[in-house]
Amino acid sequence: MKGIEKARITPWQFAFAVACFVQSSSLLSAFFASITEHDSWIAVLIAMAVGMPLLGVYLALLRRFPGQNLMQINEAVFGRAGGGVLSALYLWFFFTLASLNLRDAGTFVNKTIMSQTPPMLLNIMLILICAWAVYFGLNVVARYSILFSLISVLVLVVSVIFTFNLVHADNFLPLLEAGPRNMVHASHVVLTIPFGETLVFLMIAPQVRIKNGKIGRYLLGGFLAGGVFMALVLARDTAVLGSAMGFFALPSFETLRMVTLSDALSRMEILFALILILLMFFKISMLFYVSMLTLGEILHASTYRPLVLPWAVLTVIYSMTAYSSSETHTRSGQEQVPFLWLLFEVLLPGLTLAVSYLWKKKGDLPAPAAGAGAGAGEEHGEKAVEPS
Amino acid sequence: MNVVWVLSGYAVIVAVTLPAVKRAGSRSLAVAYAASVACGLVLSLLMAAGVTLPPSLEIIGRWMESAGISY
Repeated sequence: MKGIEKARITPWQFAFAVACFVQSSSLLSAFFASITEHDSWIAVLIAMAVGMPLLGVYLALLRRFPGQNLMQINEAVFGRAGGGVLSALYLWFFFTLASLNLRDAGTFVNKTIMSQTPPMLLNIMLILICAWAVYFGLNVVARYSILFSLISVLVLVVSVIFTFNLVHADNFLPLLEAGPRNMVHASHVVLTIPFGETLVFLMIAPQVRIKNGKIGRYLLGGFLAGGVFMALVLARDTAVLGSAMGFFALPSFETLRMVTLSDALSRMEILFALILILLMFFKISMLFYVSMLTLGEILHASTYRPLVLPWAVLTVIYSMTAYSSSETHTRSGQEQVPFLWLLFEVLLPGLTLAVSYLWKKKGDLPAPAAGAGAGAGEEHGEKAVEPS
Repeated sequence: MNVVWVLSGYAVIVAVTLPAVKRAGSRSLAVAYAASVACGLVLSLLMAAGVTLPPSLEIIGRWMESAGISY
């Protein structure tokens, strides 16, 4: 199949897109902050360390199948039928991620800023903006990642300065009080939500203007930058709130709410709200874009654009109906979703890589669909993987 | 959300997107488009009529919990 998306992005746009994607998940600290409380920042660091080998699997897939995205790789390894089934599963996964993040963003805005506005209306407005961006393709989605990422770092620095008088070093003690079971639990949550979600970048990696062998440093750089940002946000919240952060749905919001510089300069939480809406717009756009790209690949269509609006409606409906309440959403995100996401983020990519090596040993890797890999890799003089 | 809003919203979506589907000239795309519009329209009308759709991910979560795949 020919590549649906013709647009190309620069390696730096790609790296910042990964960083921005991970940064945007600081909203989701509620999923694990109540488990490890003041040790949550350590859970993030552990998850980053465990996430490195996972990133290695993703990069190995990119190296073995230069110029091909995840769906084309599935088809090349498992054949048309097997690859089709996997692609359908991944479509559900990406679509679910887009819907859940839309739900999170809508709930956040509804609970903190626009409490009188129905969540559905907020979701519709947000998805319309995302659909607009997705309609114009990857360039538009990725272009703003550098700006969003830098603004969020700036806001973090400013917020650390503003909260300096509220910081208590004792809040970090005693270290590792959560215990090994809770640390494993929280690290598992962080590993799958959001670190493992960087799998979505396997769909756009072939569109980066770079040789596949060199894309690793940008993926890794973005991942580390996003992860460190997330750990710093949690460390700031821990320094201010201590173990009390486990009681809040949005610890960062509560931290900034406590900032009062003067009568004129207070309610700094609006900074957090603004940056979070920007980051969530980026993340939802990226997930929605990848869903559309996956759908286009499954259909072997030349474009996904006519499907953007109908699928935007489906995303809103799914976001409103996936869970009956925010409480069940949070509980599921803590207890079941980390296991479910392991299937898509760890098991299936690992299986694909293992099978591709087995095929190579047999010297009989199935040929990818006609035209697959006619993307960036070949443009830069790279050959598609061949049986040895 | 009421039925009139749903129907008028879908009228706008179809008016905007249908020409692009025709231009694309792909049978699979046309089928997927028709299925997405039909599915979205039915679900939206059900929601507009006050029907509570089953929480799909919550149900999956309950299955996993009963199968012991949970913390």
